[in-house]
Amino acid sequence: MEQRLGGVLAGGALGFALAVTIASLATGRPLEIVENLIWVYTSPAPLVNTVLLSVPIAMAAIGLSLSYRARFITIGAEGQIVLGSVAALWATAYSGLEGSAALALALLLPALSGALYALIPFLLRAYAGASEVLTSLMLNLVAVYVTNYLIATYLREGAFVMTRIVPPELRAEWYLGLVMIVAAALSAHLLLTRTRWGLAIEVYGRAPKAAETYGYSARQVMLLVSLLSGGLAGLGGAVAMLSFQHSLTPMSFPPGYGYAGALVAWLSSNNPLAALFASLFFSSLMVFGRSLQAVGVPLSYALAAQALIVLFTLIAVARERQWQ
Amino acid sequence: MLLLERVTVVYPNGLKANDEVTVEIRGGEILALLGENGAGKTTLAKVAAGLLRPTAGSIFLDGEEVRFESYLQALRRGIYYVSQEPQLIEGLTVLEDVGLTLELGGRGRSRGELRRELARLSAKVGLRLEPEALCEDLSAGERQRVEALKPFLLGSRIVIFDEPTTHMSPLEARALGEIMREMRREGKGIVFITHKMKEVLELADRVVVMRRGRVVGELERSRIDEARLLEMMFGEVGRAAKSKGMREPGEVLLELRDVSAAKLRRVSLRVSRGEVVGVAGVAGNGQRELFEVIAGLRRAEKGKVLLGGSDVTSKGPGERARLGLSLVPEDRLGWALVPGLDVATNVYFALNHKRFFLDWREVRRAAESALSLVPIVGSPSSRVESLSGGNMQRLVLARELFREPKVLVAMNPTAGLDHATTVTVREMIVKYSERGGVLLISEDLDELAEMADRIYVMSRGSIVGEHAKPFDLEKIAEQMVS
Repeated sequence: MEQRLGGVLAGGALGFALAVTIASLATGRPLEIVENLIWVYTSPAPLVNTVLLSVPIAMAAIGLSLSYRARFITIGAEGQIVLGSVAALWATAYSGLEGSAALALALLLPALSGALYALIPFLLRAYAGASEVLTSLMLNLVAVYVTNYLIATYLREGAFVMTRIVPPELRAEWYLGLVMIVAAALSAHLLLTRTRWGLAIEVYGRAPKAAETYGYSARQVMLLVSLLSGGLAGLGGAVAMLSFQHSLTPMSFPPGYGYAGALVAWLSSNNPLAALFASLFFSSLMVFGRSLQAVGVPLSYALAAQALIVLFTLIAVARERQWQ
Repeated sequence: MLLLERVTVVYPNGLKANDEVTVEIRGGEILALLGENGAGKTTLAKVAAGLLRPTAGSIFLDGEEVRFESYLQALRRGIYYVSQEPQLIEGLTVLEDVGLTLELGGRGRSRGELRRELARLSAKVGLRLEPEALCEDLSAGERQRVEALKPFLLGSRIVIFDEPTTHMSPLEARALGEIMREMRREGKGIVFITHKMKEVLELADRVVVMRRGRVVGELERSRIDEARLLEMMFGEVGRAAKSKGMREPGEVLLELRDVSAAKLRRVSLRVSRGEVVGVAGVAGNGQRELFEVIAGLRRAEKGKVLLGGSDVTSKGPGERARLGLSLVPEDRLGWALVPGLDVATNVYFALNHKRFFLDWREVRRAAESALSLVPIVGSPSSRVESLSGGNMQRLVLARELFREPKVLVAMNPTAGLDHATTVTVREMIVKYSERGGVLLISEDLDELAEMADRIYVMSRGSIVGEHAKPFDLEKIAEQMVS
């Protein structure tokens, strides 16, 4: 853990240096870029944005870290997040419910839809032997296009292709997400280290044959991690909807929180507590990348800078792993 | 012919595998290099064969100092090394693989010529060999055979066999002995690495005994005697596990009735309280499937599996464990033990308690009680993969016996272990059989003869014989290859 953190910091610093250099070259105003960087990490507004963006990423990463520990390599968090946000939108803006009933439904329904959607790759793997990597990846696209269809038809509101908006009184404060990801990371940590389910995940992931021989069912383990990671991702999508998205417009490709979550899970060695911090780091990068646009860096440069930082962090972490 | 003088090899991790070892290899002689696992035998052989450069020391070939920079150089100077698990080239036929080796050794010849020579040679040394068979289809024993023929064609002067009989049936081992004698007649110098006393007594003209990287003794043919050798190998008089006296078997604890699954064909056997029942057979004749069917990892397509009188045919491994089945699988890391977890967790997970919350103090206590059954080097909090192979097996056995099972099913429990651990493991199993039943699936016939009360013989997925004490080992060996 400690060395891993060192690697993340070293790689991140190197990546930042390179990103700042590139952005400076692009604009010819290095001072403003550095000022911008400091602003992102010290001012309330961008910090709140960092927290908001980190919620779907962290929820996905925490669930995926459980999944990957059981060597169930799903990348379906993306689609589960999308469905979760649709479910939360429906519960608050379409269901006709109000107040706490609407809020409760807006958390319950997304968790349920994420978990149910995660059942599909599980069933295909457990009973048909299909690789969860491929099925979950394809299902992400299915989720996106089904959502686009819903936006254009049943959820459509007014002349433009867009949905209703989450009513202001049902929107979540920024700290709700923070509370939720801290709680999720702690619960996942406790599950792994203090319960029979966690033991089953650890044993099955490291030695499937030993797990089966001594009475742990492969299907039960896969089912467990599927439901948990799906439910968490769905909740992440719900909180994103309630706290900053507020409505949906058609997507040409998935928003990327789930993929970022998979990356973060890897970056943090599938440790849920580490995933919490890695998610915050990751979303701060996104905020920094976007803020560069304000000082005149083209969006594509900003995205490239962001990717460079991630890339260097990954290289640093991979090197440390090799030496261990 | 070849003299290794004061050879020292230090591995990058600091392990001194050879410490000033001096050994002379003479023509027309079979030299046995005897020692426990980890004594440094293979390291020395690799130095001789150019696979490893020594940290210090010299090599003399016919009195002239040589420095082998590669395996190829040694090969061309007439030294052939047959590794413990020969890697023939997948995708090539036997003929092509042999041809390639000859080409590398500077003795290439045409396909037709090679085919004729191979046929002549295999007739001469009495080995059947299918030149058009694909290398990946050969058993470990057959691979050894192909390797054993190569030095004749290469004209090698020195041949080193590294534990060649590990995967061989007794008949195959005997055939290999004949090949070595033939090589000796041709004046080659043969080095035969082994830790099996019996093979040394049968074949060796001279024995060099190694222990902890050093040569601790050397005996000429006339002075070879088992007690002396054991003493040299282990530093004390080596003990053999005591076979227990006859005991009346109790009630039937494990029974298979006409079980068929995958390779298995109508297998019936029973194990009663108080007995050790052996299953003998050449590797790959359905023993693994048998283990899996008993464990509940593989479904019996036909027939019944009974455990303590109740039908468990459709029950999973967890249910069977609760009914008193303990398992010692043949692979330690990854099957019996979980890498990446500590020793305590490795004990606890297999006990498979149903309680939802774990209490780590209790986990540690369980581990400590299990470990009190047998001393292992390593604390409950050390990672399981940091243990040596011997300690891993001690751990597995301690854990499985701690569960107080009715039946213990073990597969090749001493394969690859040194003598001291082998003795401990066998003693633990035999002692346990006073309280329960043991099914011992093993490729080591000597082990079965020493421990078992009854022996089933398995061949091509069927039980082809059942033997009671005193065992007729010749007959058993014959049935094994039927």
